[in-house]
Parts: sequence; C-alpha cells; structure tokens
Amino acid sequence: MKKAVLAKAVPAAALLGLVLWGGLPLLRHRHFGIPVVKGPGVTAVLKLSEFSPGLKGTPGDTNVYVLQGREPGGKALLMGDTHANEPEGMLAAIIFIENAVVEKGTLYVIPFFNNSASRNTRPGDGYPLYFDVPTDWGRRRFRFGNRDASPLDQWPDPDVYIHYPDRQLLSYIDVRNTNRTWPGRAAGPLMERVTYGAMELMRREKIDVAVDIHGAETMFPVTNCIVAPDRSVKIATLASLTVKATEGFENHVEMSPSGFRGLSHREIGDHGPSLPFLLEAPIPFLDQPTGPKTTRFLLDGKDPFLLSLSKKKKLFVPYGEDGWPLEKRVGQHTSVTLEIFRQFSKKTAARPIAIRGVPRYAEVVKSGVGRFLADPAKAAPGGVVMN
Amino acid sequence: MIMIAYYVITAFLLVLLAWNFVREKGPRAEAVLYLLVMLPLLLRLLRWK
Repeated sequence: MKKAVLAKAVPAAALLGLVLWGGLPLLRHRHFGIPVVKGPGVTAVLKLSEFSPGLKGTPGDTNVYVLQGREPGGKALLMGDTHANEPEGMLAAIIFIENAVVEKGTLYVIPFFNNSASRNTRPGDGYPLYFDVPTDWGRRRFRFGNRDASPLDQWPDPDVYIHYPDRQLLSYIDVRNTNRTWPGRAAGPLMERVTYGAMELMRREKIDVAVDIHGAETMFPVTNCIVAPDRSVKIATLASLTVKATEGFENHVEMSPSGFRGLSHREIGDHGPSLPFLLEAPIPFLDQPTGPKTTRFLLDGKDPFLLSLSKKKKLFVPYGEDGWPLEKRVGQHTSVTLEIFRQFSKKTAARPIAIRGVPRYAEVVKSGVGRFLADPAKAAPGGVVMN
Repeated sequence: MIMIAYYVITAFLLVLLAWNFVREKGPRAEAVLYLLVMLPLLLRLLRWK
C-alpha cells in the first residue's frame, strides 16, 4: 500500500516541480512592469479605457501619453507594440515620450498598444522573455512579447475570426491580433475593444495622422516600407523620397489593399478622420530559417543562415555581415515618423505638427538606442509611469 | 461569459484527470500520462500560461 502511494506521490511531486519551474518565470514575465519616464513634453497620461469603457480593469487597458504643444496645431497618434514581438515600434514610441518637445500641435503616444500581447510569449519558438538595451547609465530591461494577445486575457479562440463590420473570414488567431481587429467595437472581444478605444480617441480628439509602427521579416515582401491607403499615399511617398535623399536609407511605399480587412492602415482611414500610416522595418529575428532566437540576435539582427539566403537573393532587403541592428530599425522609424509629420504640416499649413528633441536615423545609428532612453532612477518624483 | 465557461470546463477536466490518476491501478507509465495531460490545464487554471 505504502509503495503504491509512493509510486503516485513521486511523479505528482515531479509534476508540481515542473509546473513551478516552467510556470513561475512566465508568471513573473506577465507581471513585470516597464518604467517609462515622462519626458519634457509629456503633459498628461491617460488610459485607453477612457475612450473604450469596456477596457477598464482589463489587461487590454494601456497608457496613452499626451504631449501637448506650446502652440495649437494638428494632432498625431503614435502606436508601438501592436505586435509585441516587434519591439522597434515600442522603443521608437518611448524615445518620443522621453525626448520629444512639441512646439506645435499635440502628440498622443501609446507605446504598449497590445498590452496583453506584451505579457505573452511564444515558448515553442524559443522566444526570450526579456531583452536589455545598453544605455550610458546601465541596461534597461523590456518585456519581449508575442504577436497576439495572451489567451489568458481573451479565450477561447473561435474556429474562424469573422471580422467586424465587414464579416470577412480571417484566421482564428487574428481575433487576438490588434492589427486585424480594427476598427473594433465597444462590446466585442477584448482586442476589438482595444482598437475601438484607439478609434474613439482618433474620432473624439480629431487626430490628423496615425502612425502604427511595426517590424517585418526580411523574407516577407511587405518589409522596410510605409503602408498607406489612397488618402495617405501622397504624404507617404514624399516622406519615403525625402528620407532616401536626405538620410540615405530606403523605405518604399506599399499601397494598403482595400480588400484585406482589419488592418490599421486600412480601417483607421475608412472609419475615422485620421490619415493612417503603418511603418515596417526589417527584423531578422522574426524570420523562420535562422539560428537560435537569442536576445543578442534580436538586438544585432545578425544571422549566418539569412546571410546565406541573401547571397541567393531570397530576401526582400539588402542583408550583409552587419545584419539589421536595432539602431537601424528604430532610427528609421523615428526619422520616417518625423518626416510624415513634416510632410503633413507642409500640406496642411493650418494644422502644423512641429516636434523637436527626437533623434533621427543617423543619430540613433551612431549613438545607439540606449543613448535616448532616460534613467528611471534619476527621474523627478512622479516622473515615472509603470507599464 | 464563454471564457468563464471554459475555465469551469478546465477545472472539471482537471478534477476528472486527478481522480483517474489516484484510482489508476495499471502500470506507472499510465499514471504519468494523466499527469502530463494535467500540466497545461493546471497552468491555465492558475493563469500562468
């Protein structure tokens, strides 16, 4: 009898050990807070639930940083971490929050747009839970998330996601993808409530320009580009040509397909007042035929398998020994975003958006991303917001 | 509401598996299989993964 109990107790204890060993790091990651320092331009911090009450008290709710300018002008919205495994968007957004001074107009920044996804991971792909960006004062740690919201926050998935309002059939997983759930609805699944909140923000605050910042695989054709619908394409083209001529990097324009629903670059313009732009920078980490998914690879973007594929012309971007480091990706995003604002202001003189203090491509590549990240330990009292 | 129903189903399955694990008289490998199936259900119920 005693032997039989022992035969059950030992494997049961082993299971418990396995649950603790595997589960606790995931639990800690889910609750890990990221401090963001309120920069000189931040005038208010709102919650997205103020625009979508169905988000209140849920992991879908997220901070909205407001940088109101000294003079009136146009309004812009910047979103990072729509896909939380594409951290260049979130880092570019944080650089804006911690460095930007708005001279004219108002800037709204949501650095963790899919907050739930930023607390999710993809263990099957060996994703790291965190990554550290080296700075002048030490290392700043960030959560590394997943493309989709955590099923802990939105469950179960349907067999097929029926997009609202167009009823287009999308993959089941896209019900947790905040770049498929636009324009959202007030009482829909959690991720539809997130995108609905952003749509309401744009409608109520009369946002002129909305920039959704991403990263994309080097083997995916829609990479290293600005995706824009008809109404934004002129500004996107001018921004693309200008950064190429003046800053020396490529960022071509892709048209937003009208038949593919749920994407920010399509639905924001179709359901609200804003001109949408979706920025993509190549992130080799997301490609499939690579070596281990290490934090080093995430930061430097160097991989021998991709280099080999590049020599066989299998990639959609130039790829050399230097890889595609984080500095290039984030620098492209800050420059293209600033250029979009500048081109919009030239076209719409009555609603200018003028921002200073944000580094452009050359500065970020030269000094690194960390140079433009503030030290939360040295922030003024009340100057740090946890995310 | 559906999410709550799924958590209830998960808890119910977990209780069934635990009960079967305790009652299992066969080889040890059979009992271990019950534990392996319980693993993701337990993680979900704890809201860890």
